[in-house]
This record gives sequence, structure tokens and C-alpha cells, in this order.
Amino acid sequence: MKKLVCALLSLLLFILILPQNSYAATTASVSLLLDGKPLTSDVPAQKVSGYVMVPIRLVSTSFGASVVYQAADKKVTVKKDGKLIELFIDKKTAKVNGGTVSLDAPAVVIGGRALVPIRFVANNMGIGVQWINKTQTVLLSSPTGGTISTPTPTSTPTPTPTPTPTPTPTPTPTPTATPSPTSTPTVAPSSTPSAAPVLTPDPNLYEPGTSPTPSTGNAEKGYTQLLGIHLVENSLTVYGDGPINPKVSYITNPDRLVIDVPSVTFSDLLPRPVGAPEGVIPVDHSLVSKIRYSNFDSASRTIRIVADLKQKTPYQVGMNGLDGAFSLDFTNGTPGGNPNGKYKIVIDPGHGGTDSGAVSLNNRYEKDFNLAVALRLNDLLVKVEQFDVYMTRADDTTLTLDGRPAFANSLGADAFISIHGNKFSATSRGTETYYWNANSKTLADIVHKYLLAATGFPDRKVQKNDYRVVKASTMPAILVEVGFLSNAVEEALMYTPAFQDKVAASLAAGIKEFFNIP
Amino acid sequence: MRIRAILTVVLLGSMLAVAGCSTKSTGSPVNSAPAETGSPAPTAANSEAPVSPSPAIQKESVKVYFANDDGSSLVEKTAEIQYEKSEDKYLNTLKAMTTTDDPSLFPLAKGLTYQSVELADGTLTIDLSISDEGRLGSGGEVLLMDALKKAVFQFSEVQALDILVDGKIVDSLMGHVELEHPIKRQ
Repeated sequence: MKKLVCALLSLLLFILILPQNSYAATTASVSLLLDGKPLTSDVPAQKVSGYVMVPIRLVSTSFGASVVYQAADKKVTVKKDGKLIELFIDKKTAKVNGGTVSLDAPAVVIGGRALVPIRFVANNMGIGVQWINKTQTVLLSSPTGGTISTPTPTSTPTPTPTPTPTPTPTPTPTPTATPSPTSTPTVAPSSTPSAAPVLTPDPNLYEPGTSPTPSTGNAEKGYTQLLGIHLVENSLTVYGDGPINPKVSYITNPDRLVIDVPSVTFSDLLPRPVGAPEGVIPVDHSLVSKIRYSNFDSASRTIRIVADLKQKTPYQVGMNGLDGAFSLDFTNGTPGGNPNGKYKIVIDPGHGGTDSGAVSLNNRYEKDFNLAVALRLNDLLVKVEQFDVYMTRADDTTLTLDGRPAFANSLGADAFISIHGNKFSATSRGTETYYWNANSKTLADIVHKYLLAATGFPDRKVQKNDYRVVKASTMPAILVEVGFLSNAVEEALMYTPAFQDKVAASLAAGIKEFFNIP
Repeated sequence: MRIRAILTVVLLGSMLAVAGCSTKSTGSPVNSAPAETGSPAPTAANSEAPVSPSPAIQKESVKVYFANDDGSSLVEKTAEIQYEKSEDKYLNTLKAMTTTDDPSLFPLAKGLTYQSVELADGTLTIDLSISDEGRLGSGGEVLLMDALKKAVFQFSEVQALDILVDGKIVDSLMGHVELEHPIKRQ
């Protein structure tokens, strides 16, 4: 049965490939020049109802854009330099960065390949378009006279199993940087009968030409194994037996989250889909209808995980994958999934109890400074209606380092802020804010802005460091080093109530801005 | 200036080697980090460090690590150390990092007192104490951890590093950075 499905799939691919070649031979073509250089494509550019249409592969190879064609959705997505263009097959409307625009000519599928109107796409990418009717030529001019990267892919597409650098049509250096299947190394610039089809595969299907052999075992040696995809409450977590570095894209119409995990292999816990294009993990969830996964790109060993969503669902990255777990937390407008709709804020006064932290120039303890500011911050935040405020310690108690983030994680907190005083040489000065997980940078940037203004100390910037409390917290988490207890100027201020009030007020202002609370 | 620094380290090293030698017989911990006393180390070294009489003493040039003045980066230096027993090589390397007379450098390890440094099965176990003075902020702790790791892993026979504080396994040296037990060579 499985073999039969496989055979049918292969046949289907073969049928898709066949007409393209015959088509290319019989159609009168239009020539294209980009900054004076002729552009070639396996399927020629052609006029459809009077409009010049080009194959999407040409858009990616010649314009350096990332282009995805999703056959199931009849949709072409073009991405370049922050511009997102979405075209729908046979529809006279498109979307540019989410805004709907009308089209004179819709994208079409001819011979199994998607073609897009060159003028519309080029103009939206800042490329000039001129039509010379006499010679049936499209003159394209790049914005700054030829800065558009035009990578020249090699002629023979070889789906080799090595993830070594291969020509990618996108200007990004890593083949996994975009979710676009067009960045796979199977680029065929010239029409050869054995070439991989230009038709970008549906993400649900295997990469054509690299269909896995059903006899292969689940795991492949030398790659991190994916051990599972779990949906628990409002978190979707992908587990590996080593560090994983997924790339996430949110795709609309229909809404879904696409998680591409490069350099990984299947495992007995997450078996390689055999006889079916994808594995399906049934779920019963208010936001997610199902989770699918497939062997998306054999060359880069990329496994694609798609979470089909029931509605528009905001998310943030929780765990970053370095410890083998990567999570996406669905925020969905209701903070923390808390029934009363409040944001849970955890304040963590650094050190405490037997751990005094640093000892200041005048032999005062850092833990006391941290607690003094934390208690003031607590007083300010409890007055904010939208906040539920928690403290890891509200007195001089000894805590373990791990206990702090664990407390915040178990609460399902929405933000974590650890307060510290710094120590280095007598001349060191300044205010620092640290974060580690990607979901914490915005909070760090906002809080640092307010904190710096409040201290008036030199700016030692927002920095990324894997301190335990910010690394192990799944929600946006930061650690502030308000100032240096080893510096006479800063220490003198840091133990004054007025300065502590000012610092607490700045932290509160930053947290409020992060949650859009006036 | 530089010559003086090297000379100081050499003298200091030989002094420590002698100290290590003598403490062996009494069985007390090999603890003679000069930074603890508060008196400037160079003068102590100059006044009482004779040329070591022991013929078995080995000299070695090792890498030692400090921070730059504002604590923004790690600085690698070379120090000449002397030792009689091979395990003292590690101790004396670590001790060379507790002090410097270069005003552009910050001795990250100045608050550390080494109670014992032992290599067994490729794991170097350092039992140390941290003075109140020596507890740094988060950025300083990161640099100190890097300095210790780089210093011990320069020796190819060291495959892992286990740091104990006052003989105990702790979750962090100074309350910011996770301390793994052991830290494996990367």
C-alpha cells in the first residue's frame, strides 16, 4: 500500500515535469534584460493576455528575492528586503506587506509552473520596467544600477546529501535563513530534461527529486534527532537530542506557523513519514487544528513543522533551542492565558541571604540594594490594574539560582526582571541591561532606555549574556545592572532612597510601555 | 615595565613553588595567594624571594588571563611559572592570575584563594574560596569564568574542570552564571 502511494506520487511528479519541457519548446518568448544583461530562465518569459509573465524562479535567481509557491493555497510569496508580496493564482488582487492591491494581470500556472506579472513584482521591488514592443523586450533597471545580487547557479542540480554551501538564489548566506523552498540547491537555470521541476514543492510534499527512500530508518547518524513536537497549554515545543536552531515564519491565508529545523533527522519518537508525504500529529487545542511535519529539504536535512491555526494567533519564541528545546508561546491577546486577563510580572531581587552579592566600596551589600529597588518597583506595579506582581524574594532569603526562573516559569509569567548592582574596578561606571532569549530583546531595549535616563550613568548598553535567570526563563526576561557599587560616584547614589525611587519608577515605566499600558 | 612585570611573576612563582614545597610536608592546604593579605604583592616577592635552591624546579611559559580596565574584554598575557611537581603547574598558573602590576589590567581572580588544585582522570578539580572583595558583578563573573576555563584548558591533558567553593558544589561562583560540574572542554 505504501509503495503504491509512493509510486503514484512519483508518477504525479513525472506528469508535472513532462509538459513543462514541451511547453518551453513551443512558446514564442519575450526577452528580458536586467541592467543590460540578458536574463534566462528554463521556462521562457511570455505574454499572457498582453502582460509579460515570468517564472518565479527567475524572480528569485535574478532579483535575489525569496520566492515560495504553495500549490495547495494557489499562492506565490515573494520576499525581499522587508518587502512581502503575496500573489494568488488567477486572482486580480495581491497583497503588499499585508495591504491589498489590485492587479491588471493575475499570477498564472502554466504547465504546472507559477508565473507572475513582471511589472507588478519588479515595481514593488523598486526595479524599473520598460517594455520595448518592437523587439518584445522587457528592460529592467535595478534601483542603484546593478546592486541586485544575481547569483549564478551551477547548471546541474545535484541533490547531494551534503549540507555544504550550494548556490542559493537568495542573498542570505544560510540556506535555512528563509522558509522559502526556493533556496534549496536544486536550481536549474537552463531547461534540461532531467532538471528538477521549477515548480516549488508544496510544503506538505517532499522535495521532488530527493524523495526519501522508504527503506531508510528513522534516525540518520551525525544529525541531531528530533524527539518530539508537543503542544501543551499555550506552548508548542520542539525537542531535539542536541541544540536545534529552527526558523519560524507566520503565514496567513490560512493562518499557520511554519517551523523549519535545519540539520536534524527523525527519530523513533518522531518517525520519518513513510508512504505519506507528511506525518500528522493530531491535537485537541483551542488555537491549533493540527500539526504536520515533513522531510522538507533532504540536502540541508531540514524538517518542516507546520502548525495549522484556527485563528490569527500571535506568538513569541520561548525556549531558544540551544538546550535542545525550542518553544513558541501563543500569546493571543489574553496575557499569560490568565483568566482575569492580567499580565504576571516577576521581580527578582538578585542574590539574598547567605549570598550577599557584591560588597560595595563602603562595605554595603549588593543584595540590600537589589531588594530596596525591587520592593519599590513592586509598590509601583501593584498599583497597575493590568498587572499581577510576584517577587522571588521579598526579604533577605537565600534562593537557588535555578529557583528564580523556575518560579516564573511555573507561574506562566509574562515578564521577568532581575535587579542587580554591579562590581568591577573602581573606575568602572555605567548601566547595563542583559537578556538572552530572542523574545526578551524588546523588553531589554525598552527598559534600558528608561533605566539609563533615570540613573544618568554612562551607557554600557543592552547586552546578550547567558545568565542563568534570563536563560532559563521562558517569558521575556532581563537582568539589569543598575550601576557600579565599586565606583565611588555611583555607590554614593545607589544607597539613597531618592535614587532607588527613581530607578524603580524607570523600571515600572519600561515594563508598562512593553505591555502597551499608558 | 614589561620586564618588571615578568620578573615579578617569575619571582612570585618561585616563591609560591617554595611555599608549595614546604606546605606539602605539613599537610596544610596549598594556600598562599598573596592578594588576600592586602599588602602589595610585588614588594613581598622582592623582599623575600630568593633564587630557588631546588634543582628539580621546572620553568614554563604559560598563558594567563586578565580583564581590561573597564571589564569589557579578556586580555591574554604570558607568564613564566616554576613548579616542582606537575600538579603545581595548574596552581601556579591560576595564582599568576590573581595579581598584576599592569594598571591597564584588572586581575579577575584577585579574590580567589585556591585551597587545592588536583588533576585526576583528566578532570582538574579546583577548590577555592572567594573573598568578599572578590565577588564581581555579572559581567565580571562571565570574564572570570572565561579566564579560568581558558587558563586550565590550555593544558591539553585537562579535559574537564570542576570548581568547588569551600569544598562544596555550588550552582554559581558569584550568583549570575551557571556553574556546571564539571565544565567540559569545548
